[in-house]
Amino acid sequence: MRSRLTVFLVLAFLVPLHVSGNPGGVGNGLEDMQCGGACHGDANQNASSNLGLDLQPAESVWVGQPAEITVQISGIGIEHNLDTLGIFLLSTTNANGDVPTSHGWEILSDGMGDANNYIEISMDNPPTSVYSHTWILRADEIGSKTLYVAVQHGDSSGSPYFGISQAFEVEVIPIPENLQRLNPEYSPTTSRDIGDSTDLCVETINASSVEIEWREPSGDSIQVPTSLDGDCWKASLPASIDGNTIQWRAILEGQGPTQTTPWFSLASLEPKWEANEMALNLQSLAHIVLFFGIVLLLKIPRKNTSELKKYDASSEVLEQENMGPPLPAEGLPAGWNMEQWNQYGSDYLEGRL
Amino acid sequence: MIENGTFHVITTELVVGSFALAGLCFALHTFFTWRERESSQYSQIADTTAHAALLFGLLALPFAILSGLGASPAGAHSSPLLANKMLLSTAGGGLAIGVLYTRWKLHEPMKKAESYIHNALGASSTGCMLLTASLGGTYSRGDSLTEFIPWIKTTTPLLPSWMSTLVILIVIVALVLRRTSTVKHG
Repeated sequence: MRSRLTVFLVLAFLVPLHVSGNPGGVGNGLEDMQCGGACHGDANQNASSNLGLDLQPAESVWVGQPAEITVQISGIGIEHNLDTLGIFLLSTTNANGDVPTSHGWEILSDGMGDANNYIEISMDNPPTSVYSHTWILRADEIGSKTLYVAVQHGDSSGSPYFGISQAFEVEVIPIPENLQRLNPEYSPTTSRDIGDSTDLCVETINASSVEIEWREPSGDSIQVPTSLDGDCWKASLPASIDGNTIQWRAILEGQGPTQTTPWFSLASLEPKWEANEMALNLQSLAHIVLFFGIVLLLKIPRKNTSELKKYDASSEVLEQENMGPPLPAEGLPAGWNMEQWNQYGSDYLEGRL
Repeated sequence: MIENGTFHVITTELVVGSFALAGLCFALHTFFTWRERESSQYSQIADTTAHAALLFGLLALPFAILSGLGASPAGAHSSPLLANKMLLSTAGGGLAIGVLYTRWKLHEPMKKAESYIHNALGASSTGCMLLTASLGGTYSRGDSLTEFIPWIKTTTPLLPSWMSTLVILIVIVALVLRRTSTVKHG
């Protein structure tokens, strides 16, 4: 027995392990560089990606104003054949606290209907070997800032690859005092449900008029009517009948030169699934109690009744109680039967009858 | 400060490792019980190891659930996959608590049939935990051990609150009735 067990354990340890990346991806999110191939995986297994990584910031990055940051990934299908590409926008390479929001940036849009620094793109049919993607960031302080672009992906062998760019310096400059601009507190909506139109309320400073236009990505722009209501310029963007993304931007007129905001992405998504939180918590509790109860009800057996019968003397006790005293030597008194003796025999012997 | 996501990975590995060991030992104990004449010593070792591992996994389970909820900004109710993970893990947790409790309360040695049922329940709790952990792999690998349940990533069989409350009450009443109806000796 011992030798068989030893052989089993040795065989179990000798089963070859296959190391691979995360073929399904990890999903868009706010991720440090640490996640590069290491989300539920082993970062030490990563090979270096040969994809070309470039980052192009907007011409002028004003403090407190949205700015386009475009990354370019080249060599797709040439250096690596891949089906999913994960792209990071990072502010350091410490593998901890790398998200740009840790270094004075606010992510207004990731172009995918959210505000993440890590996105995943399906590369099933890449149109070209170069892929461009744009984030909209907003810097909260003047000065020089650093950004990196990093990628993680697999290839046809299933091995994980990771690559990171050189540091790109972005100079955040002060905005001229009277220049018309978006309110620094304004954050554009990044997503909506399919079938819903979107009412914009664009808050501005020093703007005498605002035009708003939208387009499908790379399509012709269409202007929508705007009206001033209090502190914001209102406009309505049309509903989408399927899960695509449109882009919109505002053109601001005022004392300074015309200012045009970046194209903000607005993704139309399937309505989010949401359960009643209270019901879910109660059902979780019910599961604990139910399965605990099932084990107890199955496990602690009732005492076997046939086994109990062996020790059950109640019938004998009852029988003895119903029996009368022993008969006297002369037998039953004259005219008595046994039933009467059982009932009144004791009284007869004691002379009460 | 460890982030919830990192802590969740650590605690999940603890839970999965412990429950997997427990499940293996329950299976071995079943085998040794079947061949009891040749392997009574191994049977005892497997039984002890299974329950110790189960207890350790159970202690790590609340940390895994709480850190998992913390790592999901929108909460478990925002995704059918997360909701099913929560329901599966609590089912496995309930089974594990029951198995440990009965093992603790049952002082005399189990009969063969009892032992098989006990091991099956212990192994079922392991199964629930492995399925739960595997569901998380959907995020990292795009697949899981639950491919044979096609709806598990998109649909949650959620009971109304009143029905869950009713289930809790029925089980409690059943347990109380069971306890009071048991013949006591001495």
